[in-house]
Amino acid sequence: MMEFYQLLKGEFLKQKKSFLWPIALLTPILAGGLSFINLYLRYDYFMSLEANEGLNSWNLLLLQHHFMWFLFLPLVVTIFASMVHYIEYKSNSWNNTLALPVSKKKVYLAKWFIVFILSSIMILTNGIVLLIVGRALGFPETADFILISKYIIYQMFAITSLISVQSFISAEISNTNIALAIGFVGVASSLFFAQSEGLSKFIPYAHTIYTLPDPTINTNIPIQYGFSFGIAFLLIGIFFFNRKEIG
Amino acid sequence: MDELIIETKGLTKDFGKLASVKDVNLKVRKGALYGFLGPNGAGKSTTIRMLLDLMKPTKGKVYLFNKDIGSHRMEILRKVGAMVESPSYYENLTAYENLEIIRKILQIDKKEIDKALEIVNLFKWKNKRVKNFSLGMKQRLGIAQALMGNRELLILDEPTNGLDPAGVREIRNLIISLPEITGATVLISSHILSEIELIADHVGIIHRGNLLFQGTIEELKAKGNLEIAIRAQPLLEAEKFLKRKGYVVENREGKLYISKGKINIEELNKTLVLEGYGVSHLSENKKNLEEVFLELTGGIE
Repeated sequence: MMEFYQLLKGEFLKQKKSFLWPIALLTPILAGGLSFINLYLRYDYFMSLEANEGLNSWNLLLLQHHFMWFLFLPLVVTIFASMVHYIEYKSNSWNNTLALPVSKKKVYLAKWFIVFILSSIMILTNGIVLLIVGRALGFPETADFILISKYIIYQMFAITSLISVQSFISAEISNTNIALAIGFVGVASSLFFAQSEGLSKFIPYAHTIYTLPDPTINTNIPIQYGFSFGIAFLLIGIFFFNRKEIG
Repeated sequence: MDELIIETKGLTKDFGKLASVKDVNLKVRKGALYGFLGPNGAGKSTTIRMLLDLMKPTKGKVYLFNKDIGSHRMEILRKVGAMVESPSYYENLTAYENLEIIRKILQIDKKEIDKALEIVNLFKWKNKRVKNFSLGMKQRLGIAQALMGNRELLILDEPTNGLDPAGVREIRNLIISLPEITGATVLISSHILSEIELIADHVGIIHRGNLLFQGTIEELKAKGNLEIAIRAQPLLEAEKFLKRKGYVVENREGKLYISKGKINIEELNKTLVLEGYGVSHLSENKKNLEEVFLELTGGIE
């Protein structure tokens, strides 16, 4: 456990002053800003729509925000997963890292965890930003903490599958551009997969779509499939990384 | 002194149909400064990667400290410091922070960082970002990484690669001093013969994946057999004459060369002169290390 903890601390040190931290914080702020403008200008219009009948202001904010967030989140997670591996490829560091007395499994897990931590920070920041936006817009209802907490938790389940798949790809393919491209194409095509709920279950890139706490959305997908795919691909990733030859 | 720190048995690595390393039996004794010499692409780095378990051999075994690396990886690597192919570093971090990552993993005292930086003469720049380092400084940082934590074996793959002559000399002196300072056994690979000659006391020569020679530098030099060089007129006829007499003659660079063996030079001279050839030069030559190396590796390609 100590070894893993030291490896994880090492991962944090490697990311010191890296641009991943600003991305984790600024992406939700940017998205929140856009949602603020959107609802500031069109709140009354949205509330008057028949389709939105029965929604309270917080539901409306999340619904509007989710239209961009379900794309932003997986794209940024893809960048995180690629970058924490890229830093090793960039300067031939895999040789150095893996010639140390460390278990390869723990090296891989430490990378997985730093991506998870970065992504979780981004998701939490997003939750906080949403609360601030709601307050700033002066919603008549009190802040719906439960709704936002659910949104946060579903997202954390959903990204596990994505992190595991992208970590696996980033560790196997030394060309970071390819790993990024696969991730971006996956996220873009998730929109099409989302046409079929059955198919979306098996596409990790589509799991974030189903994280909106809304009665019309099957939030079991991130919890059941996001999590189980996350574990499955994590194990696959570890298996391949253990066999990886550093050339 | 006879304890083997590195021993490989029948080490082989195939990439598809291509064999990169073939049946290599390395033997590095404790306390040696072992030069692993071979042209580019000879299989040095592949061998080193197998020594460090970064690659699995297709066939054969690697024993470090008399233990199989395959089954005792963690225990062995704790005693091995390595720099493979080129130094690796995180350039957004300082020299100190780069070593801190390794220190955390090895769970050793913070003093070790300063000690390693002192040895490679980077202490003054410890808080500078590696991004601003020269290649020589990066190379030294790579060696410092390998030195951290009292390693008993240092494996340095081409540590002078890409350096200017002053940098080469600096790294060379550093490496020569390492066994004395750290007490470690050192394996250094290079494609430059003169480099190895100046640094190492033992040498292994690898070419196209085959280990062609292994022993001390003296043993290698001794392979440079004595030969007799003759300049005689007319040269071609003298060559034919000597061949008829049963000598094995090589005609190169305007001279005839005969392997010394048990030949009596005075007799040879007399034979030639009495036959009417004008002998203007007769000498006993020893091949230099470069010629021995070229002969072993099949000359310049």
